[in-house]
Amino acid sequence: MTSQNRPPKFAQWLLNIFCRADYIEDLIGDLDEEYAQNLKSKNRSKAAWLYYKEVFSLILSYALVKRKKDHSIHPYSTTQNNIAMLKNYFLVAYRNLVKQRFFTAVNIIGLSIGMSISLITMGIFSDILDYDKFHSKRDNIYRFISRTYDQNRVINYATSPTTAADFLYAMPEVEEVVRINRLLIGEVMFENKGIDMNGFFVDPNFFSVFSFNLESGNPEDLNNPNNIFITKSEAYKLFSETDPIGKTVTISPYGDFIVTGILSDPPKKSHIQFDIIGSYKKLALLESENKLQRPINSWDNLEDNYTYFLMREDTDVATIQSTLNKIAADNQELTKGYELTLSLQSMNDVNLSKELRYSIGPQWDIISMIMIVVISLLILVPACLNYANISIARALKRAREIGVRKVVGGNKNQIFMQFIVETILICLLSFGVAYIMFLYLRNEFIGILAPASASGILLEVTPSMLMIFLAFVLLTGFLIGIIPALHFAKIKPLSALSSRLPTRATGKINFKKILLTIQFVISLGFIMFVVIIVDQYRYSINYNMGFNNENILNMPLKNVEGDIWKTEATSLSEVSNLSFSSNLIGVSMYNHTWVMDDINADSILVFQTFVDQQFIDIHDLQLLAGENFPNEMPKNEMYIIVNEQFVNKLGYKSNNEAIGKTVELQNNTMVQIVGVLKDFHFSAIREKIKPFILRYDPSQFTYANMKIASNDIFASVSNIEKSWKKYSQQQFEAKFLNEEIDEAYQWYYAFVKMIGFLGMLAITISCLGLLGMVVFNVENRTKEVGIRKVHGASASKIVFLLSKGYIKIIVIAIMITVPITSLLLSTLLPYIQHYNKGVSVIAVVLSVVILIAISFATIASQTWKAAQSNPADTLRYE
Amino acid sequence: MKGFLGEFEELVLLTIATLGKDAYGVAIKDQIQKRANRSISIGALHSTISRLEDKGFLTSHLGGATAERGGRKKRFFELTEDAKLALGAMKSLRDDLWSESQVKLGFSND
Repeated sequence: MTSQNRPPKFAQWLLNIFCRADYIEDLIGDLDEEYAQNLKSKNRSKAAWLYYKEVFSLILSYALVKRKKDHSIHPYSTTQNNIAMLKNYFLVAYRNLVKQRFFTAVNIIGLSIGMSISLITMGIFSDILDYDKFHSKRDNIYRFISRTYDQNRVINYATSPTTAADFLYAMPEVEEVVRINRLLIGEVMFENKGIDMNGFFVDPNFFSVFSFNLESGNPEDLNNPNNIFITKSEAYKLFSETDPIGKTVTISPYGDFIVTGILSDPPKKSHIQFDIIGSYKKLALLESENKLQRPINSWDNLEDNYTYFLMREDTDVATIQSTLNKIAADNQELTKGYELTLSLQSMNDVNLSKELRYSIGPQWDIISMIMIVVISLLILVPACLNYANISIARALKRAREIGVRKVVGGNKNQIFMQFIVETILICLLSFGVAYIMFLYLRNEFIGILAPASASGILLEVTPSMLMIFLAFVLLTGFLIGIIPALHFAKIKPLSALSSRLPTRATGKINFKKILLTIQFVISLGFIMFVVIIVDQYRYSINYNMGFNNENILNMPLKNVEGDIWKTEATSLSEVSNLSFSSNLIGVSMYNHTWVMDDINADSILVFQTFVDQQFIDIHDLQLLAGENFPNEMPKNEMYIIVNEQFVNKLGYKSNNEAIGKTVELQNNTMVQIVGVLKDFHFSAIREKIKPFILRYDPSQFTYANMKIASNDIFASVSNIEKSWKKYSQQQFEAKFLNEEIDEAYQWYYAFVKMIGFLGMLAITISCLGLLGMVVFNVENRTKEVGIRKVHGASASKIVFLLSKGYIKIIVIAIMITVPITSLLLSTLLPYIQHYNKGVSVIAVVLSVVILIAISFATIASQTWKAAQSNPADTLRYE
Repeated sequence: MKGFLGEFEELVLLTIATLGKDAYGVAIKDQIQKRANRSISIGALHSTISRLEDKGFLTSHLGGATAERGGRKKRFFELTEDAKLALGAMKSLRDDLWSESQVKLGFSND
């Protein structure tokens, strides 16, 4: 082809801009061939014009678009050398991490702390979900749960009336019913050796419904009420090497039992935990012998019985519920003053459900699980924000690198991949550190988070758990890497290589500031929680309960007769006075009854304690009207002493008016009010003071309350113990009332320990982030500082100049956090403890001061260094 | 079947069929010009061809270097089985419609 016959050069060049020539060789060939044809029949300019037309139509055509797409380099494209690229990504990432050691360290420390807490959370969740997995019929096992309403509150129970089981036998959908009674608790005695054990009275099909293993013996043995099964490990403790089968053990007050079977220890991840299993038939015998505190078969006994049952496959559970509602309605007249309803709960829902009273085994209510997740996110998120912050801050320096990459042919996807790989590498390194931290932390957390009964929370690392961990790490890496990666991938090479970029990046500073503010809000939130809860703890410990709790030693009487003990104890010089009571005051109060009078239609819930005449004296309770129980009490119960709340609730105009009035108790006893007490905290101070009565019934006395006169507490207690041993073989137990009350506040301590620890982690992470930002800023402004110093700026001025931006952020964070947290806590505290101190100004100020001190120390450590630097050194580099 | 055939797509496929082993860009364009008297641009032709490739009606291969067009290779196109079936279905549909037509169509046979 001669040069004259060549198609127009400009048109060819134009085509090349849009598509590389080698992708469209055949198309260019077609164009050229047509041009050559046209030349034969038309003149040159006409042919050239037609050529241009063809080129433009081609440029706009789908054909070209498609070929371009087919030939673009896909990051996962198999035709490209993928492994080499991946290797390169890792190499570049590694070099960058090593080059920026300080920022790498900040990121890894922060992320590993955040991740370790998340690992613990995931471990706890996975353990909880693993609970009760060993039951082969798990999916068809249900239990009854109950709910009571009265005018004031709703209570959910894991228990149900025993008689509810009777209805199940008649239902065709129900295959098996297992009644479980939790009263089999006590010291199991064998030849003068006693071990405390917990267990249940159950029906024999306990072993066919649940997958608990009976090593020797037959489930049918439980048809004999006096037979008992014992777990292998407890049997070893009690009988050591000898064969336990056939041995007789004694459990007071129930009597003798014969061991006829050995149980495997229940799996740790079972919500039903036991050492011994007795026969359900024993309960009827015990009731006839008057050895039970409550009637077993009454509809309102919601304290002892659990009803589990096995449903037939493919039963529609919803249909059962209507039957249950009917049963509840039919029995309505059996409960006074409140409604009782029943519902079903699947075995799969037992461990993670709403809060249930008398729940069997450990139980995690959903709200606290959500709290745990939120808290671990509150720690992980600041660490991720650090990463994002530092990445964006370093964007300016990285922009050049990306510009060059793009100029030599790197495309968007490759840049994106490079940054994602870098982030994931950091996350994997952090995971390594987090995993080691996890191994150290987990026992601490098991101790704090899981109740002692939840022995199934082991946080053991199984291969599947490890896979979940790794997936979590990769996901975290991807999520925190995606914003910087997208940002970098979009950088235009031209602007990246020119020096104009810095002005473009100013928009991002706001974003950076917002991230930093969020971190400080979280940190201050944690600090305020800790400070205010500590404040609350101090307030509770020093709270005036309205009665004397000093020097009162409470001792369970167990099998010792009250009168005998009274003679013995009062003969001791240490005991200045002694009273009896059915339960302790100042701690959680459950003992309650219902009271009716002529005026009020509805019966009223009142809390009660059975005491003798000395009780008021020993506890320094104040009588506002009337008098104490008379010294000579009639054989039948006739008198009660009430508190002010009781007087108000029943609508008497004054305390004096109440004296002499008669009311009816739940068991139809008519009693007369002889005294009115000033309100005192008969229950823990987390509960509001409610109507309360003191009753007199020596058969209910279970505690001796002894006033100790001596100053030598230790000697006194051991003297009393010596006396105790004269009357009983059982373990001597005694506790001072004030210690018992303070124990109720122990959870504050555990809470503070946990929140304090987590808060410290959150603060550490935020400070690391702050440190990273300050270091970066100071580095960038080295020259500016040098020039200012040369011109005579003082060190303090420079510190202020460099810190100014951060001070603003901290002030904003304080302004956001203080009102929100104060409001949140002052709303929450009454739910935790009715009598609370609230959010005090001093606590808020203290929290703010702590935050300011920590953050200013962080900022000053860097800015002060910069201010001290010699301008001659900093300005020398150019 | 991977989508409907348009009128022009059908024309392109049939042209490629008539050209047999010699079906490449300019040849197809010329045939359409000659037989249907339709002038189309190379861009439009190749767009349609690309779409037909997407639908799985065409395959292509590059030929060897040529003398007549600056040594640039030709891309030859071939019908796939799908295309043959689609064309067949189209034809029988047309034949049916023609034979059952109540109106006199086109040039008369009588």
